[in-house]
Amino acid sequence: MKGTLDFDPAAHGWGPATTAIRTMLDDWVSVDWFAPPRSPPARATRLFEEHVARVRQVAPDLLPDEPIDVRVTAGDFTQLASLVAHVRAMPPTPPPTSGLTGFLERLGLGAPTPPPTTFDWKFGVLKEMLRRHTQRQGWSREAEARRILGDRDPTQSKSSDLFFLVGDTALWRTMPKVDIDVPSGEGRDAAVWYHAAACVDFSECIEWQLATGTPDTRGNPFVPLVRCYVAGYYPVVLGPGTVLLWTFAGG
Amino acid sequence: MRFEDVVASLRRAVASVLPGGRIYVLGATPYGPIVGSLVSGIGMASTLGGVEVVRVESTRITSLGPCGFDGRQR
Repeated sequence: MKGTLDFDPAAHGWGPATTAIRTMLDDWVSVDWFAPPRSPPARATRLFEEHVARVRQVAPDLLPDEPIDVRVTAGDFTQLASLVAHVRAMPPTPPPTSGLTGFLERLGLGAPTPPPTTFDWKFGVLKEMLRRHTQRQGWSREAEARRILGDRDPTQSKSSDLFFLVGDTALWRTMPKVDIDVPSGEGRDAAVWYHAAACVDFSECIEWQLATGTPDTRGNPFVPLVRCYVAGYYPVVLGPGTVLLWTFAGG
Repeated sequence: MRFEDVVASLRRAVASVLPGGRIYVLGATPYGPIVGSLVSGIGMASTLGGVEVVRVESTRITSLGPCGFDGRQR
């Protein structure tokens, strides 16, 4: 299950980080989602440890002091569903609510939502790390979108522009289309959810590089994370010190 | 309220709850883009009758109801 882009990254540019962005987009569409791994487990472990090392380099205060235990597990979609259910139930997920009310509450459009108080890899570590980086670099999605669009009409933006402007608000628009071909049920729901969450990592990887403003990806903490997906391993952070790299066992 | 004002409100709300949070284009209707959460697939769309809250699953778009002027579901 590979994604497709409706443009050729090699035919487009995004400023000084262009060569890195092209590689990231190529990596993104090269992921064979939820297929058996294409690399040995040791490589995936090394990649995730490199991801952690880069995060620790730029935002040590966001990580626990203790080393993070990274393990690989191969399983089926029932196992993935169980892992995803565990992650989704972890704080700071807001208290159980359902449907639109819960969604609006989580967006702050309904009842106030208390700030996160416990560890969360995606929201507490990665998003905060990226927020600090873009702030340090003086980068914003809106300014980047306006720079990419130039004097073109924003309503006529294309996928290759990466962003879409609605008024003064920039939105991510480039998402490779993937048909998650997993039998319906909990396993499929988990795979769809996981894929969407991983796509957020890809977009953050690209944002980090755009904010860095160079093609040098050696300091980008998201690059080794993205390469875990490329290798066919799907990180599931179970707590501050425990990470499972889930991979599809096949069959 | 114009769609772009709803989107700007949504963006501010996301940023206040999730530092570094962002919203995505989830799809489109004949009247413009659907914008919202990539992970939940829930977003807002401009329609003939105003702004609606919708759920996007693959290519299927389900309306969850109209959105009031204050950004809350009516």
